[in-house]
Amino acid sequence: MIPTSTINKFVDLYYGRDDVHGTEEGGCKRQPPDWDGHLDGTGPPIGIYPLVRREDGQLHVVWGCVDFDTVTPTKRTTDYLTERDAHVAACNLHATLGQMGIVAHIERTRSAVGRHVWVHAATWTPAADMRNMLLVACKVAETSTREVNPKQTQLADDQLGNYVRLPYPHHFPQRTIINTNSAPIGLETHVAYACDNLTDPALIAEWAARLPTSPAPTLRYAPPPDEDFWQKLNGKARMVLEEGPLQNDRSRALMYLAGQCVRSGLTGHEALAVIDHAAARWGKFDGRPDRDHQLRTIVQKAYLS
Amino acid sequence: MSVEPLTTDIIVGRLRALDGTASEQSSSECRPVSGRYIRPLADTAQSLLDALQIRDGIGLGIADLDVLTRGFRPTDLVTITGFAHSGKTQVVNTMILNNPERKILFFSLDDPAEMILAKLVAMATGQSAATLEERVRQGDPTAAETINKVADEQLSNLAVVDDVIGMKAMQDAVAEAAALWGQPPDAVIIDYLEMMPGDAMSDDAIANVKAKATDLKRWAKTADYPLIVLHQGSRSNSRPGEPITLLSMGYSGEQQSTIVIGVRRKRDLPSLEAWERQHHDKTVTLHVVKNKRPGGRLTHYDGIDLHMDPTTGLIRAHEPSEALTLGQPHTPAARAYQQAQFAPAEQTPWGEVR
Repeated sequence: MIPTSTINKFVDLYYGRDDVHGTEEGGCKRQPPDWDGHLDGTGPPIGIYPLVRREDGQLHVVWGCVDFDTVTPTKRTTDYLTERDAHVAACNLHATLGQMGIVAHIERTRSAVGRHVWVHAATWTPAADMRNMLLVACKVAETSTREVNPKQTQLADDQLGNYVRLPYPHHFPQRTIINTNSAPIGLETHVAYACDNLTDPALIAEWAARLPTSPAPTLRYAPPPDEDFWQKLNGKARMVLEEGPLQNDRSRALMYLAGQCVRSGLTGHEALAVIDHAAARWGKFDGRPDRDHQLRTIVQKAYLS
Repeated sequence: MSVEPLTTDIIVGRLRALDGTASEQSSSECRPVSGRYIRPLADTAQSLLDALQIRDGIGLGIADLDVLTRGFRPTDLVTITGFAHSGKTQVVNTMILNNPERKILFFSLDDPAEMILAKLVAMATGQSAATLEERVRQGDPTAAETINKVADEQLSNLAVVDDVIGMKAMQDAVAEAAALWGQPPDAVIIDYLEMMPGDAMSDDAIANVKAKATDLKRWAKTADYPLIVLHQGSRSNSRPGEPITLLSMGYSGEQQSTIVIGVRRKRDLPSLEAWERQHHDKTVTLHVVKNKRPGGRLTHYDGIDLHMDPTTGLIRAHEPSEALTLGQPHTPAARAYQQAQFAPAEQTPWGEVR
């Protein structure tokens, strides 16, 4: 039986959207999260969507989390090759945040070989500040920035952003907060320590301001100055371009479009121009310093598959 | 590349540097003004540090060159050109050894993988490939152990493909390597362009350097890694030992490249004196003749002389004692000394020999 005070503290630490939650299998359930069930096993493990729109219309969070994935038989996109590397990276980030005056917590994640590094704010904090502060810390610690949550700082009204699976699910006892020697820390100890060491949003904002402002992406791929260029695309590609992504899944739509470029016989460069055009139109990767890299990766995957 | 723990000193240093950057930006009006000719030394220091700590690319590990190119980065098509046997492969082998933590995929269309390994082991251990081969043949267990150790420890991030395959198959091999490593390669090397069969779209088309270079460029443009391709110089424009220029590449290919590095051996110059030839037996000269990187610079016409180990082919900067001073004196005093030393004996009207 978990004391109510512990559950309440856990909720305070990992609070986010209270109308929806993420599932263990991957997906969104439009029901309030069952916090008790997550911790005591009467319900399934849950993931929380951190982004909450406050009265000022801006997105806020009470926590941030950096996810370091490790290669597994089913997962090809990864940050680190071994658990040891993921753990060292998490420890480096943990130590860096410590030097920045921010207490962080390392979690052994679902795959058991990956790591989460959590930071808890004392009150609602602008999502951009939390994300930028974590990016600064990752930059200093030289760790992967592939999965820095919150991943979005702006959302359309019908969008939720990404959720993160929480630690201490009853059914998976290995998914706990751990210390830098990988020894597990009990739920009560963790929540008590974390609640006593919440980070002031002003400090988060102060570090966030140190993130170098990336210049707007300058690399754009212009299609050939050929009026017939767009006619080279097959009907499916033109339909996706005109109608936009299904269920607002822009990543999937870009990947599909790149595949149709291959089938339409476009060269890699021409496909890049099409994907660039679509991404700009749908606002995907806008303002991201790795925009160019992301676009090229999509095209490359399509052409190599 | 394995992740290493950071010490508190390193973290604190980096955090301070972060503050330094911020305050430097806010007080930019206090900085020395850059002019057309004057460049603040602080900028030079930063570019030197950037070149020596290439984070988002891969360098040759030869500071003289890396300072100019700032490393090879994703989407770069880097061409290394030179006359046959000028040391092009030694340049990329040196790069491999200088970047043991980087994932490198080496398409060796010219030499079998075993020969590449033998050359690299020789370079890593400082003994010639022939000696190593002889020791293995004689059953020396330490030689076999050395080869295994270098392959396992220093070359664990290198993959060599020695099949003669076309560009499509190469791209498949890159995808295979990326899946194996869990990340794209840090560099892909092709040795060499003329050996590639066909062109990008059809592996059985007639070899055509220009078409292949164009297809390579197309590949590089969408790649997460730099493509480094070796390219034979033309016999008419790249005579042995002569300075490399943009005209030196056989059947063109220079327009498509982001960076062109020329390789030559001065010892092959017919005009050298015997003592100069002897000195240059241990040198290789590199030229950066094209560099589209913003702020990127080229070498002067004569190139940069580097030490090439005559036994193993490893390339490195000259030690001070190895630099050639005779014939290239730096100061008027040295020039006068050299003239005095080498002036023909001459008798004065008074019978003295001076």
